[in-house]
Amino acid sequence: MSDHPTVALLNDKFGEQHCQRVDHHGQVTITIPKSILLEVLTFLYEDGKSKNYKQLSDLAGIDYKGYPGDKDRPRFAVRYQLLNIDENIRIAIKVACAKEDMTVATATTLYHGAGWMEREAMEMFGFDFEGHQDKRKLLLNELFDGKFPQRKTYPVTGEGERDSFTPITRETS
Amino acid sequence: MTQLKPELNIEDIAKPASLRQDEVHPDHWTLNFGPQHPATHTTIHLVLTLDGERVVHCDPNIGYLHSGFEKLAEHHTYDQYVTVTDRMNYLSPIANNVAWHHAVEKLLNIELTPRCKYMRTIVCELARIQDHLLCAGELGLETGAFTAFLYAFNQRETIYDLLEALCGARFTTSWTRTGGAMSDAPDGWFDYLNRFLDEELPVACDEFNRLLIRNRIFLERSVGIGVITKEEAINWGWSGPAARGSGVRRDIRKDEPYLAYDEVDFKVPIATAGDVFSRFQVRVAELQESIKIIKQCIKQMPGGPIDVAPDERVAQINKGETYGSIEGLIHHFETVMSNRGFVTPVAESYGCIEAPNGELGFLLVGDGTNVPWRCKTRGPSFIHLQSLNKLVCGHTLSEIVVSLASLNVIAAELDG
Repeated sequence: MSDHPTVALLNDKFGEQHCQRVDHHGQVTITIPKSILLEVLTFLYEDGKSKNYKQLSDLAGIDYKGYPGDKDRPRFAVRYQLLNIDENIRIAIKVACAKEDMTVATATTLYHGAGWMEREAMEMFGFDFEGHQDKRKLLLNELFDGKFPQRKTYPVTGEGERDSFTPITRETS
Repeated sequence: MTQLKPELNIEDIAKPASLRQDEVHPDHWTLNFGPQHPATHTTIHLVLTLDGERVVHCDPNIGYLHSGFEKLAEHHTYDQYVTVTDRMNYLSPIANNVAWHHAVEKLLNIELTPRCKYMRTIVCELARIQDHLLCAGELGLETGAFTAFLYAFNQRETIYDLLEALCGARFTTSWTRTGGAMSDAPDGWFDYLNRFLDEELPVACDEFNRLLIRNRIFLERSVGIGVITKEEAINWGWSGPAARGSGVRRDIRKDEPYLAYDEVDFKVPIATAGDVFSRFQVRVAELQESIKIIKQCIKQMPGGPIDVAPDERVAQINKGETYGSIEGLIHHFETVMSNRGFVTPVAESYGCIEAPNGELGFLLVGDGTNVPWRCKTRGPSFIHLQSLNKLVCGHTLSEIVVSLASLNVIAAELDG
């Protein structure tokens, strides 16, 4: 089985100790330190020697609180699913964040498509994508101010946001 | 501090629309398009800044149909969640089912039976026909050609009947299961399908095409509208027929073959103009290719079971055996009870298919149990609507409607 063509280039450029690789049946995920995120993404986007990942397929926030092995890793992660259309290769880049420091560099300078994906991650988990031009809420309304519904500490039945809707009866309407 | 790349304009990245009057441009005014409006395809709210009738800035305000699907996934088993996936792209619900279980089987590394692969290919292509009939017809509807829309929409009735014969429901099909499907095709299903593909659908497609393809009004309202170039489409994350309308050469059925797509022969239509009309042309051409794919699948349909073997401990065995034998009952418990047989790896996986709208993908984080830890839906409608400002800036109000229709934005997949 031939190895993923980009992993060796990443290891050479950024050092193998920074690129932790996880394989799952042909899918490669590289976890990198948050500080070099933008350099890695820029390298994957346009460096002439590497394979160029011109499309960001997906950007997801993940909360690992309660996951097997969660004591050994920071609580949150952002996962970038990149696609190289010309060579038809996918790679996933992950950065880990602790709850105290949720600032991550924005990918919108490279990929326009990251705009809304980052907005959704910001409102659902509480990330702060530094440099993002529009940090408004996207899917949620103001009843969810200060709450991050997709964190594991937020219950699936909600925290009573809709209890504030006053019932309208025949007398009051 | 990173610098913006020269070709990226800061105006392109959405800026909040302000309701105060702009001092520099006092002629600009704000209009709410939606959320309740017949032309916005359910609840999508666009805050438009207009200069007369020309759009200066369009700011989509979404979330009216947000139902917390991703949070729900963390509390349902893999086979329960398929019912929620029906409700995402509701024009082609069975394609979402296939996409979900494709992602699950990719995480669990399960190989399907040949019959299941062919059946899933057939229903996926039926879903594609459903979606394209509605979307292309809808483009006619947005420009006022109501007859074309009705001719196209009418054919979906037969597809609904076929799906009802297959799984009991016209719309909320929930047909796939991990490692197989809920039911196999009943007797006479393939004959009904063949009759539909040979006699009804081509006639309707022909009528519908003749009404629109050379219609001067339709052409004037769609050619040159909502243009996006190939590089921009890739950068904004586009996929599917909308991206292929701009010349992006990518179809997951050919590039990352799944199910039975590498065993059937079909072409992928690609247009280069990048406007509304080319997206329409791509969809109409894909309809014809889907008919070919289904016919080949019927001819090559293998026999055998539709579910994987019980040893895999994922697929539920049929009810006759569950109630009839002790081994069947044990197997049933192993797959259904929460801390028993259905084991997932502690790993992450991203699985996607070529849904009618584009690349529909699910990022699944498994934690060993039969409930996903995290499921992120990558819906093409969400990605496509982001770039609406780019498409309609400088166009008039009526062209927003047509551009929105060409993107095939479906609110449930958008909000999710």
